[in-house]
Amino acid sequence: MQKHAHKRSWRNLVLDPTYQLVFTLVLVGTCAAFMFGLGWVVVKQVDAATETAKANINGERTLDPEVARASIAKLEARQSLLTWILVGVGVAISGGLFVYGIKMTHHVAGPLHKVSLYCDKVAKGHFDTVYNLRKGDQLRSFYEHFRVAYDTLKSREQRDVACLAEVVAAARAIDPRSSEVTERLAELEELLRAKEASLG
Amino acid sequence: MADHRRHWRNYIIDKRLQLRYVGLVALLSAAVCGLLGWLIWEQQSEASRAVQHSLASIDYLTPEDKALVVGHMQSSDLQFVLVMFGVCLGLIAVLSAFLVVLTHKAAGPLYKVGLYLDEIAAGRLPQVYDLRRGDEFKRFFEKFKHMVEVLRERAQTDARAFGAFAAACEHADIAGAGPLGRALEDLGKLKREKDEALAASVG
Repeated sequence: MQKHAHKRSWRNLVLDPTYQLVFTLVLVGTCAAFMFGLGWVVVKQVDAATETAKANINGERTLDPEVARASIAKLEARQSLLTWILVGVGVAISGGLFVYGIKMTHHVAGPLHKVSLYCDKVAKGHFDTVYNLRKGDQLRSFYEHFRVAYDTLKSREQRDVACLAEVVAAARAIDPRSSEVTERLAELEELLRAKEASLG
Repeated sequence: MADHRRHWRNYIIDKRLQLRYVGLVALLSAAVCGLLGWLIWEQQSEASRAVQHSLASIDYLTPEDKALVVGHMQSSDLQFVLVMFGVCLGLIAVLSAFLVVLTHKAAGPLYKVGLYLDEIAAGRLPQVYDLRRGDEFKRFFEKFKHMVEVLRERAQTDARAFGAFAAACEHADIAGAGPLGRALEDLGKLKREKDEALAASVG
């Protein structure tokens, strides 16, 4: 197993849209729901407190009307500011969680993407070098299982090549050969070529 | 297609993968609840303090009545916080259970592929069955399944070609001793291994 420098790029962050988006949206949705539910309670309480304070100010007969209006405006501004702070923080946390969720699921989708590329290569008859996972990737134990299986397949292919080469060389040394043997030998030679090509 | 039903005892397959995600969501939810709950508590306490302050200036209530009102407000505040805490805790528990089910749908296919990989590492080429409904990583699994199917086809072709060549040598009476005889013995072993690999199955 070798190291191979594959840098992460934001363009490749979503490798498995279904898995990554489902898990990220559950993460974001849950926190958003809690923030919305409790934020709504906070806003309602602030509204009630502001209304009580306004009623107290309006009921204070000795207070100068200008001062009363200024105090009410200040209370309303504070009420509005708190609502906007809650909304802003909620949106910022949701956005941040979305990015974090996509990055977190990418660490799982990445190794699987890598393994699926190797699967494609093996299916096409190529046994390439298996490289290490990148720093931060998950599924290390799963990847190790894959690597062991891959090494087994590759070593079996190498053993097939050695055995076929031996059979082909021994059969070629026999002369004359029957047409049936010649025909079957051609099949083995064809297999040998394909297996040699798969090992590169 | 092999029928494997989900069982509640098997819902946590990959502790690291599943509990990491469930723990993260539960912690974040608890943090949000804690922060906003604290804000609510603060508001509630401030409102109570304001009422207590107003009570102090009322002269038609006896100190006992005032203490009764204050005590009632404090217990009402505490009850409100406890109910909110209980609701949040309940929601987080339900959410965690849901997330265990959700993450199981990702850990399950990985566990299944892991079993197949162990079989391949042991030199066998089992037939790959489909994933269960709702499982994640279907595209990855299809590629893995396709690879194993191609490997099985190749092994069948190899075994047929090895067997046909050995039979042709037998017919031509050249399969005896010497370099070809030894090579044919090795080829026979390979054919048997491939036949055995193809006969394997994963439970």
